[in-house]
Amino acid sequence: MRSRLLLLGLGGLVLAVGAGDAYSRQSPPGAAKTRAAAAAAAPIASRFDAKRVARVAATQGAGQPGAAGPAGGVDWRTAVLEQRRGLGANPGGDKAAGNLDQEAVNETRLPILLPADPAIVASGRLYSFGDYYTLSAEAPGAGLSFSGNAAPFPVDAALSVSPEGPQNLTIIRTVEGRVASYTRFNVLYTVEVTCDQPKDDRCVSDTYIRGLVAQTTSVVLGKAARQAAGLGG
Amino acid sequence: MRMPLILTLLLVAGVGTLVALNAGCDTKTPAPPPAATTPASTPPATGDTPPAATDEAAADGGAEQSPDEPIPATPDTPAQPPGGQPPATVTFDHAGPGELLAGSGKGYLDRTVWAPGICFPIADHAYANSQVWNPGGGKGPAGSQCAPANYSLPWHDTFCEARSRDNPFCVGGTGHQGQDIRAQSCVKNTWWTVAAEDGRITNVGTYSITLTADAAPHRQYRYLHIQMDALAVHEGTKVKKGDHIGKVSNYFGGTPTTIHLHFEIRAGVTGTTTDGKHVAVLAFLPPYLSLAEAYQRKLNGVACQ
Repeated sequence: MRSRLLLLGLGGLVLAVGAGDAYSRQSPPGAAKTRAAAAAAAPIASRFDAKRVARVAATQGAGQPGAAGPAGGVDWRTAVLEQRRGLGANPGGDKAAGNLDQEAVNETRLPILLPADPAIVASGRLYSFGDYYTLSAEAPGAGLSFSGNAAPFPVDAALSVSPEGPQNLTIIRTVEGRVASYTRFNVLYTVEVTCDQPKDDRCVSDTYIRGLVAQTTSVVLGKAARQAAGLGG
Repeated sequence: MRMPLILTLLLVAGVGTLVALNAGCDTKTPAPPPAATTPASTPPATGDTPPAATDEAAADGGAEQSPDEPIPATPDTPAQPPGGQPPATVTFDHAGPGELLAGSGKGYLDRTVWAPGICFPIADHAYANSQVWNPGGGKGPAGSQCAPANYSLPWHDTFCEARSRDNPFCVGGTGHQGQDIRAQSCVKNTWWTVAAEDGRITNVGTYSITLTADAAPHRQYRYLHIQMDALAVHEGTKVKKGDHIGKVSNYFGGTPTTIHLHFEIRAGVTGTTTDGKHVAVLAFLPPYLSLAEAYQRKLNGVACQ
């Protein structure tokens, strides 16, 4: 009986992509020296001059493959509602984003989704490319990244994936771990985990990354995103 | 008592694939490949005096796919049909896109150049071929990773080569996620890798570097197995095409792999699943023709910057 209950509970955990409680993190000893050194050496700020921003902007919508979003543009209405709902439930919730480079936050023209765990956000560095961003962060013994892409491009190939649920969640095994892709607000979001040790449980099953996806719910709108949403700067 | 019980349940429930990267049992034993590449021509010299090929590097073994790691069976369905635009003229000796070594899986035959205009990611001469199905690889014929056949033309595509990891572009959904490339000679920590596009180093892993391109669609170029303790970049570094990144090596966590660069191109794509559902996903793009074009430009003396 106990075994059955455990089994059911485990299955529920695996399936509960929409449940924030599913998140659990293990902490094997020995974080990567290389990763830690790289993080320490990295400049915190993500700087963009006007020329570079203009160059990136000029490559959009002009026959470039990045012109088409998953379903025709960011769903700003839902993004704004979810941001406000999140702030209502947790008035201090946006403070975690305050640790990030605000210039990068403000350059990002799509809703930034952050994990609810403030420790992960605090360890992160945000890099913005306008219509794409990526947050590189760490957990003990593992690397994490959280990305958003408003400009995926169409391909003709038949893709061998099996998307799940309303967010079309797909999880891919990589050489280093797992990558999850899913769609919210008509934006392609990805979460990736890479492990220093190949046999780390976080990288050999889907459970950990499903938990990460489930708890990546904090919506942050920087200046460019607010303007695009019609909220002004 | 509790831990063994939970572990047993994990196995019984099949939660995820509890197969470690270097452990497991074979589900398929492909036929041994034919004799590996035959030297057909030699790239012109660069003017440098490269180190001679040597076994100094490391004992063989520990390729990206060890012999006991399971490789899912490839469904008996056709590979992706040829298509796409013909690439620019490539005259150096190379096998066609998707033409994998016999027995090593079904390649991706489409001729689309997914990353046109990139800088070839190794500064000197290089040989694109399999780390697994060539001499010194876990599934290849007997021999050293430094066997002359591994450092000779023609090039061979390795995208979708039979591997245990997922790849949405491959028949059956699993296969090699990038292109394996050997440097000019079989000596580690000597040959520079360089930036394929202008962009920024957005991640430095235990044995990987991610370069995200400034220009849309913001392709991510991933460089694996380079010498991580002597990088020319760090996370956050802005790079231009052709800038040094790190040197080709055999870093692979605790167990070294063969000396090579595993090069991936990733991007967010939208498309249709094999059962007709619209989906957006971060995918591995076939890099072979983009690399072949870039290498030809290099042979023609066209600078990256």
